[in-house]
Amino acid sequence: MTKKHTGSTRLPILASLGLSLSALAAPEASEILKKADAIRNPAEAYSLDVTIENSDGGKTGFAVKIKGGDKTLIRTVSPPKDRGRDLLMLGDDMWAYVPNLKRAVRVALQQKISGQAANGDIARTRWSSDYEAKIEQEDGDRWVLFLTARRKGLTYDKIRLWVQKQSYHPLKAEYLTLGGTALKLITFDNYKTMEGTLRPTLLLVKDAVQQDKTSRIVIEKMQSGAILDSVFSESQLGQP
Amino acid sequence: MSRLLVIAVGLSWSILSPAAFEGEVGLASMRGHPHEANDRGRLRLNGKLKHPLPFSVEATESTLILDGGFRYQTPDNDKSRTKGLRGELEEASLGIAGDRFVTKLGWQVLRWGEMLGPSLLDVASPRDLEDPVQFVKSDKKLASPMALVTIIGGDLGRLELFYTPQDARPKTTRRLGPYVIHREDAETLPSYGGRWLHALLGFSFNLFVLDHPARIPSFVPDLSAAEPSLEARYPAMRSGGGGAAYAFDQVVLRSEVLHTQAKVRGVGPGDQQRAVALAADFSHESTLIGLQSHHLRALGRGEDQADEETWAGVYGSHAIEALALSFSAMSYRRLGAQDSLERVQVQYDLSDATSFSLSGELFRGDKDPIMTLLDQEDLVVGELRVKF
Repeated sequence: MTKKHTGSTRLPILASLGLSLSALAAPEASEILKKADAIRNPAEAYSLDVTIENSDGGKTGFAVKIKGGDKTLIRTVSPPKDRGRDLLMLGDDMWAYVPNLKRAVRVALQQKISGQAANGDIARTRWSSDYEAKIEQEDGDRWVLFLTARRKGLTYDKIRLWVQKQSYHPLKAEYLTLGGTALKLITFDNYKTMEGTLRPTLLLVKDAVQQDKTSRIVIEKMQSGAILDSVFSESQLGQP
Repeated sequence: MSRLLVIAVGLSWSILSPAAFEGEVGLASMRGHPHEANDRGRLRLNGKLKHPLPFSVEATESTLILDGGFRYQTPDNDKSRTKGLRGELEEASLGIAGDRFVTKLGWQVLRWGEMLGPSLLDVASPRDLEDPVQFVKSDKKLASPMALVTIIGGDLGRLELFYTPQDARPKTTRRLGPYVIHREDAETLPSYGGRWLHALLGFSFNLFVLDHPARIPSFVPDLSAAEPSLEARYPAMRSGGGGAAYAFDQVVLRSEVLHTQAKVRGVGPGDQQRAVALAADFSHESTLIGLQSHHLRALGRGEDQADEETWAGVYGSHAIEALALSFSAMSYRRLGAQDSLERVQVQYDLSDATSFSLSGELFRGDKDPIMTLLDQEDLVVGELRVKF
């Protein structure tokens, strides 16, 4: 009886030991990326107020609505002269409203929205659905992930991303061409509590070659909440 | 070069979040028609309002949409030459947006097309041919009473269906030989159609079919009447076609295909036209350059009457941010004829809210109906816009 009892208690102990060991092992790269995405994206659908400040003194304000990884509406709210220059992303496709034509036309995700910031820097905030990830190295309390685009036409072909181990906070990223040449450097900074969690509110974008060319993407406000699918329509662009 | 100077002042402001209002005041001095004694002056007031009102029906989130626009201007039609301003509703619609649909009822304008330059596909609402300033601003289209339903089909794309019991009549007081077409005289017909938009494998495309009245006047004079009048030879048309665009890096390729079958009054199918347009544009930093061409083959009533025309154009824009200056230019010419449109615009941003632009357009007309209408309507536009 006693032996049996002893043997039966060993199994849960071993099992719990096994679980503990697996918990200590490094998570999968894809898991790290999803958790880093969750730091930047508070919910399936949410709204952002974003300001881009450029090194040449230019400053542009946007009201952004994001739903899932494939729907984003960016409305230009300031300066007043640029109001109406809105952008819509559906899947990997993007349209810009041209005030003179009074209609939306197709543009590329890689095109600049303001300063060093590309359309895709604002519109596509979920890496895990766009990139295949692998852990390139561990650098102290950080993972260095190497992301490769799952398909053509995304904003960047490759990304090297530094993620803090304990918090899964994205710290910095290098955006690379297909050949591996650095295009831009971006740091995720000024973490503040928004929608219940610490999230980066400043993204500093630097041109990889001319590092004095910078853009500061400042997240002023973040709010989760349901957004109708019909909001993500060309007819929403350019409205007064 | 005929004289046409337009001075416009634009204002826009938010009056109540989330409602927004845009206003514009314009002054124009333009040459009169050959049979008119005097040049015309015009004062125009424009306004546009949008007010979305979120509401819920049985826990389903929806939005009531109120859209409106008006134009209030002095008459420039010699037939209705009266003192004072004439009000005209530009757009006014009431709609409901649900998660997967939007319905709108009222006076509306549809703007279609893939091109950054002139679009073959923009046939759903007529242009205001009375006002050549449209070619600088490219936004003067006439609203029609319309029921518009948009169904958002997720992975299946988006479907737009519309019905207009009385499509807007061609609005032009331009010359057609010695004649002047008055909007009030033109025929009103229903128009209806649908457009499907989708994106697949990096291509975004749309396909459409619609029945609509003639957009460019194609009139024959009725000289037997006591007062000569004009009757449309091809009052109705059926158009079908589509456009596609593909973006990679910072290059966008655009294409459009249009087939139009005119319905001749009382004698069955009439002339056919087929047109193909191709364009490519490249953008880098604050610079955009593009090339566009379109080829049109008018079949007439048989291959022996076939006529072909080819247009080619180049356009570009560049902004010098430190100087707050931006330039844009476009040249679009019909090969083998004297039809052309040249457009230049320079804009200087006086502040974040104020900009001044000077635009010029040169029209040369030879064979093309619209260019012939605008042949002597070269214009210079000075525009001050204030937004706050």
